Amino acid sequence: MTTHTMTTFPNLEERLKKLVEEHKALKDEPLLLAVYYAPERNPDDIFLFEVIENFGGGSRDEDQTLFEVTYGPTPGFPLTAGQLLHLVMTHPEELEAAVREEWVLAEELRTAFRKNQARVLFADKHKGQHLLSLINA
Amino acid sequence: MPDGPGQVWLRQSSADLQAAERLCNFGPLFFCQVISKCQQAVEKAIKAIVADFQTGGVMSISRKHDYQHGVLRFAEALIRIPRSGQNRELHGLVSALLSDYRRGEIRALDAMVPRRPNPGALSPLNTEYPYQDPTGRWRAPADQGSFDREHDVERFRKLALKVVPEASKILAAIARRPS
Repeated sequence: MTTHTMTTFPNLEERLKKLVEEHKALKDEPLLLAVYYAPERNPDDIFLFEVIENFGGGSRDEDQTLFEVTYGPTPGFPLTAGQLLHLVMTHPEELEAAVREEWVLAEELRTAFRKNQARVLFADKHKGQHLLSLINA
Repeated sequence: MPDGPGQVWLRQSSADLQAAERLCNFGPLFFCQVISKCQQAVEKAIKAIVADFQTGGVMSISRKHDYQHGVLRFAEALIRIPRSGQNRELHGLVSALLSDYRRGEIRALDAMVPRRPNPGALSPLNTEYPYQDPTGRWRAPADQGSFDREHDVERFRKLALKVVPEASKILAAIARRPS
């Protein structure tokens, strides 16, 4: 069985931080929180969770599914064969609903925090802490 | 060789744009229809790009989201593709298509897609379903005054006329990428 911890990908954290910096540069959709985490599924993949002000125009997914995109290897983010970068994105109001209603991907993140398999790469000094306390409540 | 999924999405997008252009000639009763078709054209153009990136293994979004009309989330996923010197041309085209200004316009157009109102809120203006004005009175999108030519029709028509051909250029650039 594969055991995965946050030290499984030690050389990727710097790349993820660089990626998060690129996302912080998108000023009309301010990044509030970025978490690098390792859920139970796809143990070889890389997971990044971002809370973005006004993501998706502030709409809420009617199927109670957080928006997840996976990226294959690109020159900007090389990965090993078969490895994928998962990016889950939401906005504060949707995250609040997702935590309250126990949406699958929100629960996955909460579990990763409980198992100490989540690392905060960026938290906005005003809203980031509130979002973290919401996730970890 | 049959067209890839991106070309199929783009053909439908172009047809929606042509329909919008024709509907423009029929006056205020059709303003909501023009905007609706512009929204469809933009939505499908963005989904065309996602589809071809998906085929090329660059990114993947669950098919479940194909049936969502709001397209801003797709645009936000596209602009977050990790960049590098080697994919600069393609990234430049995507960044130009989805500039801050354009995403703002797409956000405004997305807001015209009918959505369930928040609890206790009025039914918002959209291009398809009855909505409530600020006084709570029900109106049809086709009613006079729901949309105007200058601020709504021309604004979204201009957006669609830019997005569809630029999406076509991006599909061509994706096809040129070394595998």
